[in-house]
Amino acid sequence: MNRSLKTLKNISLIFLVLLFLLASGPVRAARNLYVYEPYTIGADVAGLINSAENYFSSRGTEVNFQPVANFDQFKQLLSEAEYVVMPVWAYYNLREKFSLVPLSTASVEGEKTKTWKLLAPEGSKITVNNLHKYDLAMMKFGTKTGKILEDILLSADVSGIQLNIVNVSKPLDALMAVKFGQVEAAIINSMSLKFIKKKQPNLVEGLQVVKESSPLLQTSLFAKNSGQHKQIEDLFLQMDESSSGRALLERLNFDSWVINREF
Amino acid sequence: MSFNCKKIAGIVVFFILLTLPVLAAGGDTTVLVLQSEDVLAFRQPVEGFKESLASRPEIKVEVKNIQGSLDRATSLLKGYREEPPDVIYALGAQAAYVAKKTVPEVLGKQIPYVFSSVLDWKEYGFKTSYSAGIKAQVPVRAVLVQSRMVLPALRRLGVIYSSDSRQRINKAQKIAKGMGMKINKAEVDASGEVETALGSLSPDNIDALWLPADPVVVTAENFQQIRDWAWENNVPLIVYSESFVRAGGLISVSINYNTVGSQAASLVLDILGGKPVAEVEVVEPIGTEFLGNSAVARKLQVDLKSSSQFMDRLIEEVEGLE
Repeated sequence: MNRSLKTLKNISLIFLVLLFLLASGPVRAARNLYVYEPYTIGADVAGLINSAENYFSSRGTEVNFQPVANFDQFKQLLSEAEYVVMPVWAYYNLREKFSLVPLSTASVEGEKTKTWKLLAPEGSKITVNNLHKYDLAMMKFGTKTGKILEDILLSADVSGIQLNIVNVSKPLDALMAVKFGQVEAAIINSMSLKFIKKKQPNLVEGLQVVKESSPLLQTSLFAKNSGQHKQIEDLFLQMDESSSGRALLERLNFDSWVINREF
Repeated sequence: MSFNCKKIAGIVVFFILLTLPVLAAGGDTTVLVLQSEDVLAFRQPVEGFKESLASRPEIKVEVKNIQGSLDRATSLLKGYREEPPDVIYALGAQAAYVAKKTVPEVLGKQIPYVFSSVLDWKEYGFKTSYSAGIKAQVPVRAVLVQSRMVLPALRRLGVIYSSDSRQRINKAQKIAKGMGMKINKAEVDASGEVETALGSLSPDNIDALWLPADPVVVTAENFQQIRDWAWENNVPLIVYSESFVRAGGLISVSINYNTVGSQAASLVLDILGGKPVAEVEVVEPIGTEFLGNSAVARKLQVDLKSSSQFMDRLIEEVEGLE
């Protein structure tokens, strides 16, 4: 009798352990989230990674948050990613090769769009149609800079025309190059221009906007495949509701994330 | 075909040929890149140069390293006697010398060239009617503007310099005035006078100390003195290279070699596009490499975080300081 009770006890224990394991779900590796955001992240990558780790661990989720420096590198790493954060032009560039599912878009001062501006000195004779005669500075995106320029800003009027572009490493360099007469024009996005203007308003004086792109969505979050993404989606949509989330947003230079499935 | 049709066809072909730019299809345009040596300061511009011309399949870029040897350069150039390059991009003083002197001797004609990474280009006479170039020093205004990005309250900038840098400092003074800034100068005649010059700059009279690339002022011993003084007095130190940022400078503003290569490509395209080389000047480099040290920033209570999107990299530690 005692032996039977002992056996029953052991079986019950094993059963309970199995039940517990089943209920807690499979052990899940950290989700790979690659981030390509060349305009706003800037130089403090270690601080950004730290901030991301703080936020995601405070929410009990393991996310392998990896900022990537350039677009060519980012493309090579995409096969390993489950989620990506990237500018929308990158999405259009990559969507044929990868089945990317849009989840949400960053918002800055209530705006989920930004524009690109072609700047030249006031009184300049530069137009989109004669731009090929002049030297132009813009932040580089790897080997596709010229193509991206056409996609973002210029109309079909100038497709196929070769532009003389000086590739710079950051938007400030492009702005200074046109401001101080080293090039005749520069391309810079509206967000970077806003940040620079806040710090040194005189840097944008004496320049005119020759052409502005139509509003383009801000950097957005995408899933690599269709399926259940509620957990990650909520992490982003609720980022502005905690201090660690707001710290991460500050590092990214965004105010919040908003649902956006329309691309 | 009737005579009139032939005539019209001939006229059309004539005008097409007349309006074609120098750039020909099918790899007919060759740009020869001459590297003085295989060092990072020359490799990075080559990368930027090639990247900028990657979308121009009609331009063939050939990169040769002369390894500091005129004999090697002569031997390399002999291979171009049948088909000389259209333009040369020369990196460093030796390569620029080869472009100026050796090329006409070996190839029997002058080839237009663009040079970069040459400090004393004026002394060498590298700017001619068939050459253009990019200066090897960051413009002073870039140093001042970018310092203000990180130190928005910067109004009084201290600087120790010798006669080697006098022209540059005088230029900085004019630019600083336009920015509402004052430069408090301390000129020295010899390296040993730096300590006295430091003493003349009170931390109460300056908001930051700028260390320009001055061979008289910047010795290993002097840098340590200046660095220690700045550290003890909580004075931000603005330097000109990554190694000095690692050693305790707050920020450095230096040449961005990759951008220089891209800028050289832009000059080459201007020349290939028909712009008379004599009209293409020796220009200041576009862009910078803008670095910061976040450990130093924390010590000085300087907010680098809000400026980091304008910077290229942040360094996390300070070497050689306790």
